[in-house]
Amino acid sequence: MSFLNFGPIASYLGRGKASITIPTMDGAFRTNELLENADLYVAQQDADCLANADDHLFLSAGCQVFELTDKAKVAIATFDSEITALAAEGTAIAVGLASGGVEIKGGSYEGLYLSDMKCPTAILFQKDKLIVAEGAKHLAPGDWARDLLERGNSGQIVSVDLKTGQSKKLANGAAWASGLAETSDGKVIVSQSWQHCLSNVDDLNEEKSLCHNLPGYPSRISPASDGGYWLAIFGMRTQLIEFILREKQFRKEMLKTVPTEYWVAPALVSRENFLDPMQQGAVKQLGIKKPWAPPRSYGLVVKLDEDFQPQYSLHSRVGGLRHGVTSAVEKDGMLYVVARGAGQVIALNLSAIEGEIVQ
Amino acid sequence: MSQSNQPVIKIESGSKTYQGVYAIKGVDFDLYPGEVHAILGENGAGKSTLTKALAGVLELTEGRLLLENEERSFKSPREALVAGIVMVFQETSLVPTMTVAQNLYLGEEKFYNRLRGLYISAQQFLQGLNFGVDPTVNVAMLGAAQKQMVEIARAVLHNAKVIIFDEPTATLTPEEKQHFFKLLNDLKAKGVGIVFISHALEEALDYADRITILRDGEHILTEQASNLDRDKIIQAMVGRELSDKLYSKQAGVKSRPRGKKILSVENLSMQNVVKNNSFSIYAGQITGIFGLIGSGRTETAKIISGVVKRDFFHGGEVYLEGKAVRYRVPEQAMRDGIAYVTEDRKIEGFFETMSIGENIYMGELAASGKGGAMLSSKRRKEVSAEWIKTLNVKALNDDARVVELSGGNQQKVVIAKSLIQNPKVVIFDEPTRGVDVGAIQEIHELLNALADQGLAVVVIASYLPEIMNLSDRILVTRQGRVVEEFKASDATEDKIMYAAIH
Repeated sequence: MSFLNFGPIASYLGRGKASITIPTMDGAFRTNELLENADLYVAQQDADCLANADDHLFLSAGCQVFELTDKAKVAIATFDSEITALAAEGTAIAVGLASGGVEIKGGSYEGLYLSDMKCPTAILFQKDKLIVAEGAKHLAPGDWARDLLERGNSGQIVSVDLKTGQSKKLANGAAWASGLAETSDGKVIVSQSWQHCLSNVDDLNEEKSLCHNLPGYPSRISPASDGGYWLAIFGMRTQLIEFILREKQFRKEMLKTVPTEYWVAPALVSRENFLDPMQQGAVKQLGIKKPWAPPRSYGLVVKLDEDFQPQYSLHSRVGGLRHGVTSAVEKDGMLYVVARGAGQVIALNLSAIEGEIVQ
Repeated sequence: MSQSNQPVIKIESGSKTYQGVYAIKGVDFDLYPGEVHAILGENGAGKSTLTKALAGVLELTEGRLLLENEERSFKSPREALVAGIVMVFQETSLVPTMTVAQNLYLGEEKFYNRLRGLYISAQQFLQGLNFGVDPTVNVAMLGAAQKQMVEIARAVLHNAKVIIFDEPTATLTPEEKQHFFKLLNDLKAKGVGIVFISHALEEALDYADRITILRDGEHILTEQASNLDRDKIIQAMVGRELSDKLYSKQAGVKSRPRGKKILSVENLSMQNVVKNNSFSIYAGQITGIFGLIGSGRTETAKIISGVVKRDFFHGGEVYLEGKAVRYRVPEQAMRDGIAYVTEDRKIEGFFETMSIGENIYMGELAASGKGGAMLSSKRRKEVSAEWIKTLNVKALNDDARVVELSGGNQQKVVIAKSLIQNPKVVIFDEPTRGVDVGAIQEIHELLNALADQGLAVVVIASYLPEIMNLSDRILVTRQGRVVEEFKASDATEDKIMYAAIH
């Protein structure tokens, strides 16, 4: 009776793609307060992306790139536009810009500017190539909420030969490609935020994904020292948003009439504003029914093994501040995490994390 | 203990033979008024035979039965009932299609019966016992604990001097158990002699005045409960040293790490029983699910394995290795690799009049879809021999009928029938209910071995020490959904119980 799982029948029955279900936060996603309780490394408004190379740790925030050392930051480069992606290799850094384009500073390709990239969200150095993920075809990186609400799938992954400057489209049709990683055998892995999965770039099909049905919207991926990966999740899926995503007319009206900041959409930070959308719910505790609201924003980093299976996760829960995690990078036994919602870079000792999370 | 000096009932050198084989041999037993007397022993030790002889269900072939010092021989349970001896069976003897009141007065009907009058007197009687059971409800609609209450009420109604309980707490939740033992105390205070059979040794130690232990049909010891402890009882029951770690996780033993996520349940709903239930099951570890009866554990397992169906509208999703599945019949689940070992093996677990071999082979046929006219007796013998050996099923041969086996061996047959299907996920619902101590250990070892082999093992159990001992992670259900997850290292009985209740 698989016909019941598709189309208007599924919508009526609440089945298949129309079933408003989200994965539970158990097992590898069991909640803790590790992000919330972590040490502050650097506070920086608009902190967004981390990259490390040759023992240097870089942070992009606003239009600047900083080098982070000993809980201090030093600006090393300033660009004309907000930085939306950052990668580093050797002495070179590559940045994606909100105004469009990717620019390289330092190294052999100093000054190289790739103007074709309209919405760069993640960058990966791969020998003499630069792999760039673009979130959407006709939107700027900051318009990610609109892309989600329009159920966009126009993202693409492009490979640029740095020697010749020639670019080659590796994949398109990505539902907001927002993270890139390279496996030990040279394959490129891409995270698709709106499909809640990680896929091989050669096959963005959700069913063939390496890690699927994540409880939030995956963002940037970086390698871990044990062969696994760190995955930043910048927002959580909730029943409310899954429901909204089914209601086309409602979304259309909302996009047209409601200010962007009050859209029913995931957010990087929760504000104490009564105009913020809320999902009504209730739990019964000790015989008393109590109202509650699921998270508008959340902080989550997931440790993946080398097969991209979640091992454990670090959380900043609903009442916390370290929300909207956009990047996590491991360096010298420490994990550095950007909580964009809080404008902070936080640092966690890996051995302490593993001690806390006894499997 | 408020004992008088004279036993209310006594068996002297009681023996019962079936075709020359002794079920019990030369057993001495006595019970004083106002005494709680526990009878313990492995399955097949003769506990049920002894209690059935007391209750007139069967007659002793040798020895004497004395009721208040007068030799008696009951030809039927009815005679024993008239004499004030009532037995409350493990599978209740109530008529499910009749109401509670009708069951209470069954056999006591007058020539002319007015249902309204019956309900009123039943209501008054039940309230007098402080039992919250509606007398107008059909017994089939009652939970196990309420059925137990009706059985007890019936015994009290008949002015029983002796009440015999066979595994009274097997189907009760911890809170219901508390209530049950409070009732026992009330009955005891009224001078009723109580005999109960239990596999839960703590219950016997906590609530019984004296404990009698049988082994292989013979009387091993009768002792004041205060003079015994768990180790002494186990040693007397099994006649050998058994690991005392049965219900205590050995210090330093690490939980198995999570493997791949095999099963994911999202917002599963079924009427008012399962409500928006969500959880995940991982390969290579044992996930224990604890919850009070009625918390939707079994129903969730049955939905996953295709035994019952979730809500037609917005019933949620079950993902097996990432693929949404929805089964109409268990056969489809079996073929996909989901095996469910039922909590009620006698009704749902096996074909009791068929042989061990036939039952096990049936499992293979169901999973493979082969069969029909192509049944192979050679294959049947092969698989049954293999599994009888693997699971150490104690039977003369594979042609023995399952109904003739002890509870532990029956359970092993049910497990073999499921495991032969080469599942990816095995859900064990109350795997050691009604199983003797020796077989419990074997079943626990088997569960651990399955998880070590990389299978996703789910254990649903009401017995907290069992859940805590077996599980690598523990999920707690309450009111139809999983409400808490514990790491094995974090879990304590208090925490789990708190999550299950509040």
